[in-house]
Amino acid sequence: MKLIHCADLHLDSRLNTHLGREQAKRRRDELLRNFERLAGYAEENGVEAVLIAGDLFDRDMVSALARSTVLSVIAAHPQIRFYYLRGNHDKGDYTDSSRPRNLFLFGNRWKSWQEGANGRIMITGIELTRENLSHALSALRLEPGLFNIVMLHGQETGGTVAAASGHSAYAVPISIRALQGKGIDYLALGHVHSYKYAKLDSRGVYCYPGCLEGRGFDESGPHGFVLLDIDEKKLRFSARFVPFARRTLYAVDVDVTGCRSTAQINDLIRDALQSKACTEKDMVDITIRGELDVDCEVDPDYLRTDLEARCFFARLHDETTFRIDAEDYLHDESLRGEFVRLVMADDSIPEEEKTEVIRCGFQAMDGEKL
Amino acid sequence: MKLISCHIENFGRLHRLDCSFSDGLNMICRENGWGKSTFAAFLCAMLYGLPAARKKSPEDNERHRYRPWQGGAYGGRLTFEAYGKRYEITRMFGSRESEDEFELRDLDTNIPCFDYSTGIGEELFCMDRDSFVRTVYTRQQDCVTAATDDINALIGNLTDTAGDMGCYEDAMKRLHEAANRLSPKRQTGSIRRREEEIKRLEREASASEEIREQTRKFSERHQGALREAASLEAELRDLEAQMERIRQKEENARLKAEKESAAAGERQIRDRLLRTLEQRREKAARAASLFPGRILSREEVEECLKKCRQMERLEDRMEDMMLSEEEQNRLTELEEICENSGGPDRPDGFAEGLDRSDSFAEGPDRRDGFAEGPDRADSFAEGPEKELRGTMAAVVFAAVGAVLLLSGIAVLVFAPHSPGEFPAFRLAGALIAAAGLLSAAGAADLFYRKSFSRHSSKHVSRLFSDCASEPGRNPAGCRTEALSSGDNIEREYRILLEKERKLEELHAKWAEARRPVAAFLLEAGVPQKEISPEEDLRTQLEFLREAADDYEDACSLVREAEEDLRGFEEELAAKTCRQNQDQEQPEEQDWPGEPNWPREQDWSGEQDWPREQDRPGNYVLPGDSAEMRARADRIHAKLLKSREAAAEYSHVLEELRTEQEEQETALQRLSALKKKQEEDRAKYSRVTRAAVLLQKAREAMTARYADPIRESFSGYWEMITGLSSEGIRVDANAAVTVEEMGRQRDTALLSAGYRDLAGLCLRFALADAMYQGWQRECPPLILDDPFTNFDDAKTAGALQLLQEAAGKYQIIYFTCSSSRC
Repeated sequence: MKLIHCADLHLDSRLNTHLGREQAKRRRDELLRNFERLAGYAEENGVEAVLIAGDLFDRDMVSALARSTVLSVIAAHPQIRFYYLRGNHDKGDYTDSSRPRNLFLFGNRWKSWQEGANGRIMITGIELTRENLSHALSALRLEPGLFNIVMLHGQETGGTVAAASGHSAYAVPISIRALQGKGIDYLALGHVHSYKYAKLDSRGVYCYPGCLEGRGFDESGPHGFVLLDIDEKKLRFSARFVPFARRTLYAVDVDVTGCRSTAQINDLIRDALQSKACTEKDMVDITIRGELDVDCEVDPDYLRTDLEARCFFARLHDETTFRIDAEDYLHDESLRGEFVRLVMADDSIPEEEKTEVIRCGFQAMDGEKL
Repeated sequence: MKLISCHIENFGRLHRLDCSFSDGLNMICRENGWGKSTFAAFLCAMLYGLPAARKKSPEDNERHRYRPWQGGAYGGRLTFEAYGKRYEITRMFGSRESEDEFELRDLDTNIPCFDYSTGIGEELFCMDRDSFVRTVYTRQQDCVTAATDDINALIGNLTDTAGDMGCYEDAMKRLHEAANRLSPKRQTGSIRRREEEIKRLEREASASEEIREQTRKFSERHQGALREAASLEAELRDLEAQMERIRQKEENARLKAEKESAAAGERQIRDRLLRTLEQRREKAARAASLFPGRILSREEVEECLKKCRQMERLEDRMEDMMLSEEEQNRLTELEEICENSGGPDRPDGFAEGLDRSDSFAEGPDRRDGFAEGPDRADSFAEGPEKELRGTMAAVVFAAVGAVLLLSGIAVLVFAPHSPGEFPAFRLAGALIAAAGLLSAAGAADLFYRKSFSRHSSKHVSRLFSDCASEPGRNPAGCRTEALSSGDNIEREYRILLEKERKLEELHAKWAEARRPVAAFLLEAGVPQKEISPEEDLRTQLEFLREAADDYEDACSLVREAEEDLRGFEEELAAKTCRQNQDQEQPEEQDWPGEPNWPREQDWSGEQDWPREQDRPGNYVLPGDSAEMRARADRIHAKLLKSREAAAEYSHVLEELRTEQEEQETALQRLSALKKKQEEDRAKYSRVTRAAVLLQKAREAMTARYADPIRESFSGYWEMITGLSSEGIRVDANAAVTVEEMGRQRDTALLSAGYRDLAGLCLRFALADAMYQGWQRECPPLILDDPFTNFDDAKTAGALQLLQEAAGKYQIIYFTCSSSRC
């Protein structure tokens, strides 16, 4: 039996931190369509069940579009069972009469569903809260003779510490140790937005599939879901990560030390993006760092414009610093030399700004855009 | 650089003017309107070309201003010497700069050369047109001057980095423009505008707190409404559950009562059906008792009746064929006549009567036979012989018949026959057997005839005897009468015998027909005496039939009553079964076609789960159902209100959410703007500092060569005025100020004469600073009546200046007044 384990889709997220209004709207729609793509992938690949381990939506009050889209996608694939466990972001109520029959919900008490042709796969889950956390994990009882999948949403503790997603303060802690020895074969977790697959105990593993699509540059890199293939007879399984994001976010630092022109810097940026296999539908956040000669020509706007033409979204941070060797101008009889000496001798200018002032003067004298 | 000559083809009012120049001072004194300024402009135009015709007013637009009034080629030639080489420039000017023509020739070879381009002035003098005009080309009423970048560069000998000094003003312009663009003070400055927007966004952002507060408030209200709705729903559910229980109870009681009532009704119905059945059974029993013996079916009685009817038909025929008394008597009489014929054979003789009567029917033949009287008589007379012959014939016929019959049978049995062949032998055998049978029949007939003829011949003889004995009777006639009478008697006897025989046959048949009927009746139990031949069996049968009908009807009614009872009991049983089924829990059915649908499992860990406390509302509500219904209605109304409130709060929250989004967008924008503002402020600081320091750098640089300019200026001032130049200052920017009343005053505040004086002295000082002592081509000084504002003394001084300067420069001096020559 094939299953998909995904989490943290955060549908209906605003996404306007970096994007303009139109782009943010477009991106929100893309994230919604991602869910539809996921269901299409499941149907094409014979997946029988989709486990959504929390944070399907980004907030409690979900827009009508997001809600109706999700419910209609689920209803359009009646042969696929969707197991939805709410997370810390989505606490809305989806138990009204419009809920499709193939949408199975969990609650604040343990609930189990028997799956598989022979009924040897058990999917168990609970929505952890501050109230039930104290006894929920200890109360877990599983049948050892079955293939046990347990779904939870929260921040792991006690195991190897996962890369915090930045919002761990809002998450319910999940003690990995408390779940060892419970007969769990696959602990399907959600909350951490990066993929992690690790051993739980001698029997099972736990996995964060990461978010289905990165929303900010702190979520750069590949994103997707985990595809499980369970042999019901032998009670064995295989799992593999499937990259599924429509757009990949890249946060790239480019060292431009020694560059003398915008073109040279642009070439380095291009090379960096090429090495990441960045495509025109991706989002990039480029930070150029390094020391440049104070009189070198660099136009961040040109770099930005060029990036924006090559990506869906691009952001450029110029954190370069200029270097100047005041000794070179010590005996320079030119206006430039006089200017440099005056700037270096001016105590009212902070040291770290002197180079900038000099560069400004040089740019003015060289006819560059200020 | 030294001007040699020029030819003005057409330039302003000047037309085909040639002029030669010498070293030193070249004084051109002409009247007003001659074209002196035009000439000066021509020289400048030859070196620097004409500026683009952008300015519309003729005064400002030299290209239009000097277009020849008379038309024709617009331009001229200029010959000069530079760096030891002589050249000739030819320039022709068009309406636009692009239409201008320029040609440079090596004057010695007269071959076009490319040592210099159209910017020959800049190339030779290292200064642009503006600098040229500010220094070596003094136009009328335009003595005031100031240093330009090129001038400063030349003064500072910064030809190697002329780009720096040369673009100082551009650099400062850019810095100032950048500062203006960023300025926090100017209306159009981005910092100021952004500051305004930041303030606006901050004002809006301050509302975000209010929005958050409102969101929190409405969210609490929403949650409160939802909780209230949930509580009311729970209470309503409890109440409805209570009501449902009561209703169920009442329903059960009602059902029970109905059931009991129904049971009573059912019992009544059952009793009624049983009674009916009983009654019908009794009736059937009574019907059965009518049978004398066993119970008969209608069919068998009908069958017997059919036979009875046959019997009656035979009786009717018998009655028809019954001999009348007269016939009986006649038969008796005839029997007596034929008494000797033998009683036992009689029936046989009579049985063959018909045959015989057939032979009697052969009347005419017979008559012929009579006509053959004698033969007949012979036959009479031959009575005993005839009888013997008849007996022998019968025996022969019988023997032959037997042989033929046996032969025929033998052939039939033993004849060979192959399938497919015509059975000729068998056919022959059959024919032989048939012949044998006919022969036997003939023998029998003869034997009968013999018998009969033997018996009847005695009566005929008697008649003949009696007739013959009568007197007068003819014996032939008597014979005939006797024979005829004999025949008649025989015929009549045969007829009567036949009739009697038939009657006996009918009787036998009747008896045969009657036998099964009687047997049936006897078997049916009818007493024997009632089955005697005298009794009417039909009546008995009809009685039995009626009884059978009655019995079958009764039985049918009984079956019907039994069916009704059985049907009722089955229905009752089914109803009971259904009622029992309704009370059982239905089993969950599998979704059809979905054997693998997940089933929710009873969770095994519940024993470790904390017990859920009883929810409020799990108690029995007092009051009757009407009161409970009213309470339920009230709760329902409250619930609707809560839901409406929750929906309204939800709507408000949605709007607040949108506002909050906009707020957050605004906050993000504010944050970005603030960041940008900081960046711009930093940039503004850098730009302004750069501008200040760049200016200082320039001043510092120009200060290095300001002294030579001052000295030179002072010398020229004193030369012209004869006075000390103390109080006259030339700063590092080559600007002249005059000390008046303890303060440095701009020369713009001075009189025109002093302004021109200062300007002229400065020009000469700048020219000295730029070209004297440097290895570069010095341009000719072109002076277009610069002393017009001088008084006589200063004019004299100025002229003296010219004489002295002519030793260093080639001077082209234009004036309109001889007093200034």
